[in-house]
Amino acid sequence: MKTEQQLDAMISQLAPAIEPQRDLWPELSARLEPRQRRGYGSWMGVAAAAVLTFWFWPQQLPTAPQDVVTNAQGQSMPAVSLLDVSRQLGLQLEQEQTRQLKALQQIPDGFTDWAQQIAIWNKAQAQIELALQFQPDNQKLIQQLQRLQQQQLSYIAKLVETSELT
Amino acid sequence: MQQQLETWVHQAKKGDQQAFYQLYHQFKGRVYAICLRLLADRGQAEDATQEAFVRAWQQLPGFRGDSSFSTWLHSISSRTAVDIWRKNKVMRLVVDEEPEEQGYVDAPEMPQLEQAILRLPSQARAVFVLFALEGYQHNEIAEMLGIAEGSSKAQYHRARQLLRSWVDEN
Repeated sequence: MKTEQQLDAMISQLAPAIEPQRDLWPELSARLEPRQRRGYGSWMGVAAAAVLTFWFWPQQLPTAPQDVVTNAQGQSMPAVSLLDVSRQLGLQLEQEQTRQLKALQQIPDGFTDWAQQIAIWNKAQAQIELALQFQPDNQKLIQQLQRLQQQQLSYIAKLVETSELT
Repeated sequence: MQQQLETWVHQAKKGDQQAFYQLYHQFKGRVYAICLRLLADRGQAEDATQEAFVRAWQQLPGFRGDSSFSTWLHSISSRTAVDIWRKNKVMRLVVDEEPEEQGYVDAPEMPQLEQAILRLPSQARAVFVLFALEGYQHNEIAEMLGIAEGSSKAQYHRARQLLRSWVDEN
């Protein structure tokens, strides 16, 4: 039996590298996803869409509730409510946010609870949307909803910006 | 060489796959050695090597250079191989009591001690490789492998004893 010292000597002589018997690069390189440039471009797009939406919304507000509109042929059609538009935009915003957040390689310090933060905003927005079902023309509720969406957008933009700096 | 390495790391961080290939070419042998010694299976070691480099690529933007790239990659490789080792452990469903002839690697070209390491029982081999070759402490190994620190020490001594006897008999 070898002594402890002889074994230690043999261990120290082991090669630091063993070459694989086949080329692993082709399969490996196929799994490397291109690095996504998380620039401001896509966020600028979302922000611009949001700003335009918020700008034009108040101007398009109906003066009275309109459940039915009449088209050129005199046929009655259901009107698209402000609440529907709000929901649709909220959904698009949420999808874009999810996509952007998934693309983040690393969550910076101070943002580790981002999922909870987003969930809180989503919950608050859902509550306002519920209130809007009962008061679809309540300007204050609509403004509150817009403010929440803007806050959420700013938070995620800051998260992405900080992530890029680290 | 060091400067060249830093350039490749910098370029790979920005998404240059050619630069990352140079890093792969430079370090594939070391990564594969960790994986093969831990897993004692060529196919699994190849998979683990690929997985380690994929993880390195994904985590590279977060590499700040606090340690050397080699140390950083080494750590990723060890943990990747250990992840696969732990999956194997769950699948084995048997207690690793007696020395087993792994039979996974027929490697007559390898040095005698290298072959003996691959013959070690799974847990003793993992502890031995991580402690004696990779420089981890027993408390770290215990956490990585999901065993008690005392077990890690016991397995290490067992591995040494087996290696001393096996190397001697050949």
